[in-house]
Amino acid sequence: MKEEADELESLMRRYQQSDREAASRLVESLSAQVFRFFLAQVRDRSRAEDLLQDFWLRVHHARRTYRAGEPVLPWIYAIARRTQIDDFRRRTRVSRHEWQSETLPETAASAADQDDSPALDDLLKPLPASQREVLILLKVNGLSLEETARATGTSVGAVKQKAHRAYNTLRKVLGGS
Amino acid sequence: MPNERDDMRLGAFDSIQLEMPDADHLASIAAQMQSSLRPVRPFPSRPAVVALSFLLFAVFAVAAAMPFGYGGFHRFQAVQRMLDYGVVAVLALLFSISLDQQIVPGSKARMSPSTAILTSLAALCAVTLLLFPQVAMRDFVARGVPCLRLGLIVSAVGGVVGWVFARKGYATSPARAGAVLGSFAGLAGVAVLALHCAIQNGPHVLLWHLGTYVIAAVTGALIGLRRRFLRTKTHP
Repeated sequence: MKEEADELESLMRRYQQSDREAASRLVESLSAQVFRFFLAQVRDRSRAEDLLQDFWLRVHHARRTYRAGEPVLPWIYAIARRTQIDDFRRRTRVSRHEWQSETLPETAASAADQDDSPALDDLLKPLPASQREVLILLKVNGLSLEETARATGTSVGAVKQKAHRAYNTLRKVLGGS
Repeated sequence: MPNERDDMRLGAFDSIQLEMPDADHLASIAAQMQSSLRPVRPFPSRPAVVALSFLLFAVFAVAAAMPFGYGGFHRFQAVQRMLDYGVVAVLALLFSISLDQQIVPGSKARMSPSTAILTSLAALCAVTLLLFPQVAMRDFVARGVPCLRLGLIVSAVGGVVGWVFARKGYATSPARAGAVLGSFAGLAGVAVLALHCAIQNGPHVLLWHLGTYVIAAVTGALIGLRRRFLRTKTHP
């Protein structure tokens, strides 16, 4: 785990110094987990791939803000989170506009229908966005509490509280099913 | 951490672990990044950013008050100077730390922006109540409006300076970053008024001087909501 973190840090430093191979290796080693972060939230493969592309573009533009010695994953997920929020807002604006122009907006349900793993969808549906996000970072992406707190810009206590509430909600949902 | 990991049926999370992005898509992303790659200077360390923004604040406040005179400074007694300017300096340090947290993704959250903003307002109110007499004042509005105007002009200029500084980072929450930046700029307005204004009256300072701070904080948050204002400068 520590070696992996050191390796990522070294790749980030080399990427800042315009090492082409480091850029390529970063994309290889981080894309899968960031893709899962997006996929767990949007439940649409092609949309998750679009988000991944937008995310890397942002990483590329913001790469100087990474500080050597700091953990890479919270930096990465803070940007991924921003990418997802901006996309959500943009889509909300667009669908509102489409609704006004009497065109049927793309709904979350239609995206979910395309997916072949509704169990996760059902599991996450009753949770508020902030709790869902914390649960995905902890369970899907395997971040620690500290890393999740940094990525979401909150304290470890707040992350624990959100996770705890999410578990309580899920326990009720699963208990009732 | 509660032991939910074991007692919940969270097997659903495992299904997504098999999902992988398309390899060609990744190759095209990597190629796109490589084509516009050039060296960047890494962001300075946290203490350096905090020291720089604090220094910028101090120089800006002193320089901005210069054309209007240091009437307030000369009128203050030693204890008042120490307390009033001391509190402003501590709050400037607090906002320097908070601003660094807002413009560097993945920073450790030491204090939430709302806590920093409200704590600062409470501290400014407390020091005002402690230092200045709470008596009625003649021409309250006529003498107050020029102070508010000066404070807002200084805050606006300070906000632009701060915005140029903040754009070197990457605000992951533009609304929060905007509120912190606005409050920091408002504090610069309060500092300039504390140096310039010789009126030692509690209600005057509370309404017209601290009004600058409140208006600047709200304006900053509203501008931050217009996210593009705080989007990072590109480094292709």
